[in-house]
Amino acid sequence: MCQGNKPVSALVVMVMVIGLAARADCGRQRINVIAKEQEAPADWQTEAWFGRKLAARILGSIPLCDCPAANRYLNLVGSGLALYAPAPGAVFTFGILDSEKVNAYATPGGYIFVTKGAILRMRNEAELAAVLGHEIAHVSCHHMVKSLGLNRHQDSAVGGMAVLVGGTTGSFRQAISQGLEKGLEILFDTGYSRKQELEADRIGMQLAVTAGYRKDGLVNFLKRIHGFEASAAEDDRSHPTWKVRLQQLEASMDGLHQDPGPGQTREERFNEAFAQLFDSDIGDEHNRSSR
Amino acid sequence: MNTRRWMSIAVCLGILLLSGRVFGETIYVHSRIAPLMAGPDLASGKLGELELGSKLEADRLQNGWYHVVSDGKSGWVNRLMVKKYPPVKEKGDQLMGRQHLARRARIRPSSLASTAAARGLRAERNRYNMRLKADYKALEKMESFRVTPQDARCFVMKGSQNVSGQ
Amino acid sequence: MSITAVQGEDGFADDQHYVNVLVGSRAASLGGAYTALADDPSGCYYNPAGIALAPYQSFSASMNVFQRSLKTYEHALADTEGNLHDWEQESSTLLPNFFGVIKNFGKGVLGISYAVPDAINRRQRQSFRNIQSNIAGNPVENFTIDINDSDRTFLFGPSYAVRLSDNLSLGGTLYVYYRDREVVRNQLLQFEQGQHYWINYYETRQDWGLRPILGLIWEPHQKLALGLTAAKTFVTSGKLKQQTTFRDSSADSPYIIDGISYDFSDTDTLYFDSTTTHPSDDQPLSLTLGASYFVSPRLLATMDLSFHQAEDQKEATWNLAAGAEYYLTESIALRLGLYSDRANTPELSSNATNQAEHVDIYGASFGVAVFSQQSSLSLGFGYARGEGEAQIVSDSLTIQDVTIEDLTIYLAAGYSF
Repeated sequence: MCQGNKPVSALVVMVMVIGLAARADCGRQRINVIAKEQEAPADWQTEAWFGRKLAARILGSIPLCDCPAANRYLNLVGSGLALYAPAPGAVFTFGILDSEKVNAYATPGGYIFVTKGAILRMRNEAELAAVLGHEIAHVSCHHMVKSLGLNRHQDSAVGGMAVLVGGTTGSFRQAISQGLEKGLEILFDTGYSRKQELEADRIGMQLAVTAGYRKDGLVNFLKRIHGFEASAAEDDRSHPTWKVRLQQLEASMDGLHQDPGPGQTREERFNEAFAQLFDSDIGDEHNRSSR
Repeated sequence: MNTRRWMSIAVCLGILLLSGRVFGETIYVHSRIAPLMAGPDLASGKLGELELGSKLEADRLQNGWYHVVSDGKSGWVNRLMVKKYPPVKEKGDQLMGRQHLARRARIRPSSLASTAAARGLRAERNRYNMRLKADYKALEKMESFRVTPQDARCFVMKGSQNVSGQ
Repeated sequence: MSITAVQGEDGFADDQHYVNVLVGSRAASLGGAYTALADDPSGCYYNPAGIALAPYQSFSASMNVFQRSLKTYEHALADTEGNLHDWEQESSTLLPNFFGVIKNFGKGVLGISYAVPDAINRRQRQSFRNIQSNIAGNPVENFTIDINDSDRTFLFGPSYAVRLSDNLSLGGTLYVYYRDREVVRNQLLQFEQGQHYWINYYETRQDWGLRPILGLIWEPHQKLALGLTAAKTFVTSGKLKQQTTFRDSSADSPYIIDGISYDFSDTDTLYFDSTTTHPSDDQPLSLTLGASYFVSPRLLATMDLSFHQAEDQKEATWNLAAGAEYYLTESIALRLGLYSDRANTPELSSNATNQAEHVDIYGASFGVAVFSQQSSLSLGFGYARGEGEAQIVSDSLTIQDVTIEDLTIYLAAGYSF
């Protein structure tokens, strides 16, 4: 008996050590399941097709900001981050929405919007990158299609997205319009799940840091807008309570060992690119003071 | 008799486990660029960059980083940027994609209608109908601001240079 | 009493082993080493915690099994010329052995399953001539034995499992247990000098009960999973009907049974007895510890160690199972398993009579599974063999060598949606 205890306790210790060293992942997943999760080219295509329709409707509701230089700069920052995003089939397009509200949206396939109100409350490129990184993460994680139940691993046997595209009959058109309606509802009203939001925060931060930005961009931005947000809580139902987000973000930041130096804010070119935007906004005392 | 039997079972299992060692884990880069780092964090030095679609053999995972060997160089790549299957090919699949879609769509045409119903999407629920007005002109304008990955890359590099003073 | 008589009643059905028919296609071809895997509907049977780890929201699986078993009692009988004859029992069953569905429900996964973990359909139809008897100068000219036993255990019920954390899940199954057994045995001995010995025994038994199964899976590392299962069957109501018809005209003195004298020299005398009882013997607690090692997305190795408690006449015993699975491609998997099915009876002693047989069985299984987008189809084979000892002749010290050989073929289908 005593002899037997030694290997057993050694095994227990070994298992404990392994347990501490790493969190469970998907080692259990077999290759047949992995293969099924594989994105077909068609998946990205259909997402882009659906996302484009949704983007056109967002622009039908909130106009695009008439600020070419700022839009161009936004695309450079966003596409720079997207280089590191696991979204091989997405073509990212970024746009500034002419709205004083503070928000950002992403549609499947890579259409990403930031409101002018949000940009006016940012201080540097690192904060912008953090917000864009968050939205890019929603795209690369397919959060919208998952929430709509249109990805092929949920409910639909063959791929709801593909079905959406393939159909031409009246009932399909109705289904598409319902899908778009529901998509807008998620973007403007109900929001993504809390788990999805926190995942987007975490991945967005990693993207920004990988691209060389300071890791505290999102935290700084969220802290700044919180005061504003409290007065306009209506707009922020789509996100988990900021306390939870901040906690999680700070935990993620601790896990990211950033070096050399503190990372960059790239404030100069940020101010330069958005100068026109900031100037046109000079009359708004509240916003200026919060900047 | 019994001992011999168990020994042979143990030997068979041992062989199975050892043969598994050879396989490791194959992963593929899914981002356009994935930095190859010297250690499993961003603080470690950058050894180089891996391209989209690079096939890597990973032998372990630590703190969300895979330890991989690529072109004889070993280093760490962020789990976020890799998957266990190769990324989709961007070009040349357009036509195939359409056919693929049509075929898939035929298999279960009623699927969406039921999905929609199950999720509470009903025709009479028109809260967002007023927003369903689409502005494709504005969208095309927005699309005109797109930048190529090359430009984006230059932009990221320039940003790094500006501040680090190189 | 004459030389050859039916063996003690306890030996009829296979209560002496715990494995019998392997359940679930993937599990069966991995030798049943499934406690740490269990991530499909057959997890309801092996370890309900596993269904929380299934890769699909919904999954159904069904399995059909053909099993052929051959049991040989070597040199059971000797004829007048000194030749030894084997006693052979054969069992063939073809039945749906598993059906299960799992689906996300609330915070966890709900399962409903049906399993047949034990099914025997035993036949013996043998005739022997000129068998030695213990009556000097009066051998058995003709000995005919007919055995027709069927014994099946059904489990049906719900399961529920939740993930308590990223690497810990917990699940439970509450099976309704139903066992249906029918035994028909007929033996006729005709002696050279004209006497006969004839016994006909008929038995039916229905047991109802509950079999709760509790399971836990812990994944301390992405490549390692550990599972623990505890299961026990509680028989709540049993009904046993036994009927015996008997005559022995070779007896030189009357039989006294339950105080009544039966003189079979009178050709009108016949012993007949019919009783109904309500036994409810629970089955022992089984604890299984499993470990699975996910070498790569293509290869895994898995192992189970189970311990079965002692209860009534059953001794404590343990079993070991091990398996490996390798995906040749994304759509073809090969599986291999080895397992033990050890007897819960003591080893036979050379100076006792009417002892239960003791055969430890060892088996190997092999299966191929083919996957398509939503479904999987598997074909599997199993072979098991055991050598042991038995005492089939009542009140005799003679011990026979017994060999059991089982061949199993199964076809299973899974569908995820």
